[in-house]
Amino acid sequence: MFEELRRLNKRQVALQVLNILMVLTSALMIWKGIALATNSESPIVVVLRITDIHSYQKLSGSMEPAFHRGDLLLLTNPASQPVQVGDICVFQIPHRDIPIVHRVIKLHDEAKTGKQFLLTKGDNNNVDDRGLYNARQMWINKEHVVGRVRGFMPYVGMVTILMNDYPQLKYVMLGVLGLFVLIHRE
Amino acid sequence: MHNLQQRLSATFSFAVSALFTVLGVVAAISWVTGYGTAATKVNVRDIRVIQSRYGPDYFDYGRKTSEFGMLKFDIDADLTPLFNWNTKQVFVTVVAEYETKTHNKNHVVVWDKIITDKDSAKIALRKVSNKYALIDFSQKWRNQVANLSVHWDVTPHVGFLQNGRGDTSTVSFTFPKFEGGR
Repeated sequence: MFEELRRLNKRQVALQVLNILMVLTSALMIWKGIALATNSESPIVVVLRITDIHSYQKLSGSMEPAFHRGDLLLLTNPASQPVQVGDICVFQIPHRDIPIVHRVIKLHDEAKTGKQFLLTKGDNNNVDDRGLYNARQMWINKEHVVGRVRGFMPYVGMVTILMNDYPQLKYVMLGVLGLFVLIHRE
Repeated sequence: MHNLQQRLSATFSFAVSALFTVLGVVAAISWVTGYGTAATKVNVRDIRVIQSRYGPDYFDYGRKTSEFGMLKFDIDADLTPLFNWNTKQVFVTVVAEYETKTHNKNHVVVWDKIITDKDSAKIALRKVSNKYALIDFSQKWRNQVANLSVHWDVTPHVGFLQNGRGDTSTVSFTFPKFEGGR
């Protein structure tokens, strides 16, 4: 492998570096393109457990058996379409790090302003989410909704969870990929 | 010419593209064919209004005069048509819908159930009580007319979520005014 690297001249190395940058920027462009098309800042999400982020909290499987840890969800959030009852929403409570994936069980649309008052609940939870909202907060609004779940793909997100659990794996994979691109010649 | 590393890389990338093509085709087929529709029926047996500070969800609504609807209803639903080779879960809900002067669209889920297999997709329940608090945004009921209907949301093994509602099942009822007592 390294012999091959040595055989490359400066021009070829520069070309390969540019190639890597092209791959990275097109990935970013595709991501941002999907974000624009779906009007969701994060159109593809992986189902996590709270334990993945804070080891002291445990809130697992609130949407099981529909969604498990590691499943991939495709979100859309069209501005013209109001949230419906029964929609599974990914929402973010102000001043909280982690977005939550739960279903809307109550909805009140204000006639004058069109403002939506939503209450969510995990299918597998016994109680609604008012305990998860900020103190005395009874409703969430559309601006808290990051996206509504439209598509589902199982297990695929496990890759990112593995990389989250074992950060070394991330660097190994990035390193191997980078080396491949660098030494791979057309 | 081809070393082991190149062969592995080619095999891996072909396997990944083949897998995602199959997943895409599965999603597309289910998107086009859909999940059909289910026969559902709801029937309202009884509706009362009580005053309390805490709802059936034990949430503190702040005042003792908050008004909760106490609904009793029957459900008959055959959701077996929604189950095909790409159905992972059917989430069935009974929704109360009504309009008030201040809020033009109010949808409140009163009952729900997770169904994961065809064998338990036939529902026949009598005198079911509302599972979630039936309380208006204003926390008052003033002879409010509402409709009750069955909705469902299908989660596939792979693909797009699809929802529907039993249109023929809609039944109308009126929340009475609170008249004291519990």
